[in-house]
Amino acid sequence: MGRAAQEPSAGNLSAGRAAVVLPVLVFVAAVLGWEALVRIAQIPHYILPAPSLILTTLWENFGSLAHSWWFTIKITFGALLLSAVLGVALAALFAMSPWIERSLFPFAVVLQVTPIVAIAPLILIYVDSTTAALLICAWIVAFFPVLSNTAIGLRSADPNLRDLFTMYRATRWQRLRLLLAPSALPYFIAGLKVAGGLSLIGAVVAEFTAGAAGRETGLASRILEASFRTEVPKMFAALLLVSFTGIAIFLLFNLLARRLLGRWHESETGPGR
Amino acid sequence: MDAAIAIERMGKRFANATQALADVSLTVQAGEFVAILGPSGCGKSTLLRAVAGLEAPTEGGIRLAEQAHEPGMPPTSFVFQEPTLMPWATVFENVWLPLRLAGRSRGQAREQVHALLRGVGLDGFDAAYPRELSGGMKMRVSIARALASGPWLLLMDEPFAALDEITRNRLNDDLLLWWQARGLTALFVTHSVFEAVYLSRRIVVMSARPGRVVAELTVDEPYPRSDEFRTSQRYALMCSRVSNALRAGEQEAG
Repeated sequence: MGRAAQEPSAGNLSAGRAAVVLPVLVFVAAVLGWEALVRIAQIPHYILPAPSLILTTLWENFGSLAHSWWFTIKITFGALLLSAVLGVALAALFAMSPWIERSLFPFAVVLQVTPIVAIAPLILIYVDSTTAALLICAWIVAFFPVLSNTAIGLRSADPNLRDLFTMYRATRWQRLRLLLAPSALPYFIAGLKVAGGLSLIGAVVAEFTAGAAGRETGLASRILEASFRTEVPKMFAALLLVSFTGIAIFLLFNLLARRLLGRWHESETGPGR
Repeated sequence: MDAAIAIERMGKRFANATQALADVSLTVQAGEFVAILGPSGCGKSTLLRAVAGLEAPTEGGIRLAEQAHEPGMPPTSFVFQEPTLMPWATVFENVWLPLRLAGRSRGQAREQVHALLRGVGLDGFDAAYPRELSGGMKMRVSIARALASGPWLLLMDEPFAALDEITRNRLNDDLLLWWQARGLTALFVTHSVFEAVYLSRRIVVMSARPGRVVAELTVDEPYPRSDEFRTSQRYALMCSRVSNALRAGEQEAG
């Protein structure tokens, strides 16, 4: 009896552990396989460097790479912050007036659908500061999900709750703060999760387009610079930092979502009662 | 006439030309418990929403008498078919809402909200979130919120339709206690004959296409009512009379 009752939970536990252990095992195996392949086939490091060489290169160049890394992080989070603030502000404006929405939404769509690589050279011409130009490019890539998600979220409040607020004569501000904003929060967070990844992509792509100009340079410039000199291990080292940043952003927003929605929203609580 | 609610020849036609209600007249005295019974689509919810001021009649009118209620608060409260709680807010915050919208701080409202929660049998649940409660408990929170604003008129739109029979019977009993203790006037929309007979002093039977009143029946049974009434011959007889009126109305409508 006791054993039979324990079995399912033991099964769940091992399934939960497998969800962590399996990807780690596969990752470690892939890295080891890569290392072995490079050593056995004697692939030259300017074609494919071994993981061990990439790590040593990263370690040796960390001082200069860290500077560029910090620059890319600044652009990424700056663009993300702008996306969040302007996306929410614009969505709130849309929620207040359908006319504003109808007038401005096409512009947002145009910005969204035009590839950033095509706009970036123009922005670099019009904006003096390279840093500001990069920020604008990354923002253009990242802000749309925040805007469209928040706009949908602000419209998604329960109609009965809306009626309730009307009956209790809620002010505009009370309605926004106590009803519309909490209703939109899960949508906003979902938009922010997408925007987090996109702002990193935007920051890197814009810098590629800008070239290694300017005093301050980010990781993209370092990748370009290393590729001109065929320093392939260094390219991989910089790439590693870019990936690491992306993973960190992903985890950060998952944590944020759990903290903000964990107690009430289905997306974080899972199938409940 | 000192009617609490006077609905006179009211009609409601929606923008898409659907005639939801036609020529509805109804008078409700203060302190009465009136059930509005009808098949789905007969406009009974529209009628209730019109009394709440959420829909404007296209013909005729509705007059609500001035009755004593909490100053600065709306005179009516509405209980929806769903509990309609804010999922991001605790039980306390949901019941606090009407007071909060009227400018009462958490501290100022604390005692009153706790008293309301005690009153609906949810003492100690103030920090729980709606998703942690059962359907019946959610509805209790919803009713506590409706009572928080101290209304004289309680409008309920099939509030217990989604609950199981045992929970519904218990909520029916409790609802009658709250209604009597607070001297409320109640308009209760339902499609359950049994519920209408058990709860109300008067039953307004409606028919669909267009929604109109086809019969009014009085339930001659003193309050408080109990399980004894629910299992009595009088109750069965009343239910069959109401069912007949409902069927006659439907046949008439074709």
